[in-house]
Amino acid sequence: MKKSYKCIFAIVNKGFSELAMEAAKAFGAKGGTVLNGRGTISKDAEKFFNISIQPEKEIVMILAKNDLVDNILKGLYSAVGTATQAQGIAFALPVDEVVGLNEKISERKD
Amino acid sequence: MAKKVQKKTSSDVSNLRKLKMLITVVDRTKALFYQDILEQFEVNVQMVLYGKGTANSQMLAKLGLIESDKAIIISCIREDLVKDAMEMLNEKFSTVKNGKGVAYTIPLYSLIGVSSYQLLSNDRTVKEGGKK
Repeated sequence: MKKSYKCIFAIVNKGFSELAMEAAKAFGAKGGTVLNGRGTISKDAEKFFNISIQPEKEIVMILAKNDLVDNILKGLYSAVGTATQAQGIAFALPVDEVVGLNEKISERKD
Repeated sequence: MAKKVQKKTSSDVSNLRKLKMLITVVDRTKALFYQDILEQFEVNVQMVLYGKGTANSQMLAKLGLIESDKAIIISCIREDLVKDAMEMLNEKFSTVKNGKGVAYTIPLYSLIGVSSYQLLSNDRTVKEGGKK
């Protein structure tokens, strides 16, 4: 069991999960899982920020080592951030215990 | 008076056994198998989401995985049971055919509702204010 990981969630418009994953991989992420979802936003917020929210979303879940997290988040922000068509937001949650990661295989790929 | 009650309640709550969110990512075909395993560790509430893995085919072959269709099992588990559950999952990940996966826990910091806590922790002896 290791304690040096964080779980990154990136919520992007549908069709942008591959781009998000590419951006994350460029900064050392090994892989992730993509979930489908629907976004919601209040009509007032939509008017106030002058944005339209595409309801179909993809959630990219990436488990990454602590030291890579900041760079991955920066990479996600520039590739699929709110200023892009992906209109993505990304955040990281702390992870306590992890099992099932094969680090040797990951290292071999490097 | 009200302040005193509040103080007592918060210290009682801090004595409660904490909960963690356990996320298990496995092949879609093995979702039920792993759900059954987690139920052994007093996990009452589980939610399964369907997703896809993003590892490339070369990587998948190295890991012995064929399908990229995944099931994400989100469970709520008591902190004292995490170690045993993780050990069991780790063993199953390495021994079960096509049963490879990843599992990790995220700490939960707050929760509202005694009945919600009773359900999630599988502890019906807890009363309001964290008393037993």
